[in-house]
Amino acid sequence: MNTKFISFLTLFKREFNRFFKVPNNTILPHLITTLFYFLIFGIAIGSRIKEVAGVDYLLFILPGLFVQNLINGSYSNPSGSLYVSRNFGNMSDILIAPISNLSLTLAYVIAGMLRGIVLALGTVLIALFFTTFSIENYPLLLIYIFLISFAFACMGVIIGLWAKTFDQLNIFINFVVTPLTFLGGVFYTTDIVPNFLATITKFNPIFYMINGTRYAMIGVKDGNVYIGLIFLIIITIILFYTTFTLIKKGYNLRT
Amino acid sequence: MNSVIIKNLTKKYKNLLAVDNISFNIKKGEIFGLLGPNGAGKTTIINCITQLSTITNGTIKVNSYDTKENYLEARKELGLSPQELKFDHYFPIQDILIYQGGYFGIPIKESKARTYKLLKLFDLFEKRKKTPSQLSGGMLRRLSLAKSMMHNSNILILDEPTAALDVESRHLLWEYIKDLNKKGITIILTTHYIEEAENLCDTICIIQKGKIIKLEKKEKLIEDLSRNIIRVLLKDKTTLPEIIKKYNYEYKDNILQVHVNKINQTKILNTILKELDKKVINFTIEQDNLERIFRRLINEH
Repeated sequence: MNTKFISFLTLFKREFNRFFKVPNNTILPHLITTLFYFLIFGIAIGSRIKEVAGVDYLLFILPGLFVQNLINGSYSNPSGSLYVSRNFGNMSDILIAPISNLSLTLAYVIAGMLRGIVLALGTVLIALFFTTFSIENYPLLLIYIFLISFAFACMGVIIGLWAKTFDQLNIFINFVVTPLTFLGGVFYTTDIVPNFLATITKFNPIFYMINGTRYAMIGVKDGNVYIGLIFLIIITIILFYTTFTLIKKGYNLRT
Repeated sequence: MNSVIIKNLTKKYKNLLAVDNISFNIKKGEIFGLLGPNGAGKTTIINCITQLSTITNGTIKVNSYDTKENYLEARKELGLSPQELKFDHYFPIQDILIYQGGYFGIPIKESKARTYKLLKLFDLFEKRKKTPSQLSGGMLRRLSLAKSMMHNSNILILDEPTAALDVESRHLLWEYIKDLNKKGITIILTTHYIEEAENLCDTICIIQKGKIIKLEKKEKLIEDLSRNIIRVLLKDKTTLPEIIKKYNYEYKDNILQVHVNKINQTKILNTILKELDKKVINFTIEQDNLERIFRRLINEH
């Protein structure tokens, strides 16, 4: 096997194994929260709502929660790992090794994507206790999963490099991702909320991610799926370019 | 043949000039000691060689690989045991070493074999399933050395390798460093223990404020810069001959102390004995050492 590939694979495996080492921090809380969403919004409140956009409410919220966990996992893995490695751990072990800048970038990004996908699949497994469904459009769903997880894993690397404190590390997820996810139509369609909220939602990039994923999963949409897809592709390219450039420059890695 | 060639290396951190346009070569197979007080720039030089720091100006070649142009090849040549003992706290120490091998492109089977060999060598095999937080300072230092040797590099950089080690462990490590060097590995060593440099190094480079203030073969450095003391006990208080007064001397309580360097030591001793002749009860020569030479050099600069 090519030594460069072994280097990449080792770092990727290390990143992937790291989050399975600490499941109480990296996996279980997200899935437990998801379970409560299904219990409260799907069963307790959802039983009164019945249907939204022509589907059972519990099924309607599934794609949004799926995307929420996909984003959380993809973002948190590289951001947390890089922050801890830079400040308390093993970053110098990696930086002195003959791992190319591209391999370094991809190892963090792909491991992040996989954590996001594990959490997203966990969401589907929990959902199957409450409802049944079949995927409407597999290729489109895979494209959305790839792009969303890739984009947010890149974002995770960027914040992981930038953050100097735990507080900074959580700023993006707490003050950007979480509010945008809740205002991105996880629990509602734009035609059942007041106009101002519908307008805010339509300007929210995460709305298009949830909308596209929902369409691919259960065939329900609340906006143009393909405009969202183009937008997502552009964002992913910009974020990857930024991530790679920062790694190449050794931003907050090499003094 | 040179293992490391540093040309006009300058490293600036915002307003701080940490390394100021220095050039030197490290010969293949030697133990090269970088000495200097805290903040002199030793670790910065090492970080530039290992690419943990970017270079502001100049070039570094490691076994003929330029650290900018052929950065991946250059890294393969180097093993580093850094000053700070930071480890991957998520994994047991055997996994840390296996991963380290992998980062350097070593296949998993080979990486495992080397890991077990090094764990045994550094007396850490019994602790292989412990995480770094469960090890003592000395064990962590040994783990750091094992980690630096996972990929059998040609050049080993040891930044303060015996810090936090007890005397016995320190001496064991010295022996181990000498053994590695005998196998042809070039060793770059930074240390605060001058005794360590005197014991191990072939060449000494003394750094202060980012500049080289002395770079010599150890023996030559000691020979050129040593200030030995000839101590002569006299029978009674005597007026010293004019020729002795020309030397750098102190005379108190019938004891004459003359500071000499190694080169003129014999000549001066002969003169003293000849001039004072029967007034001399006995004499001793106190040899200078690297530590005193180091202190003098640092104070002079």
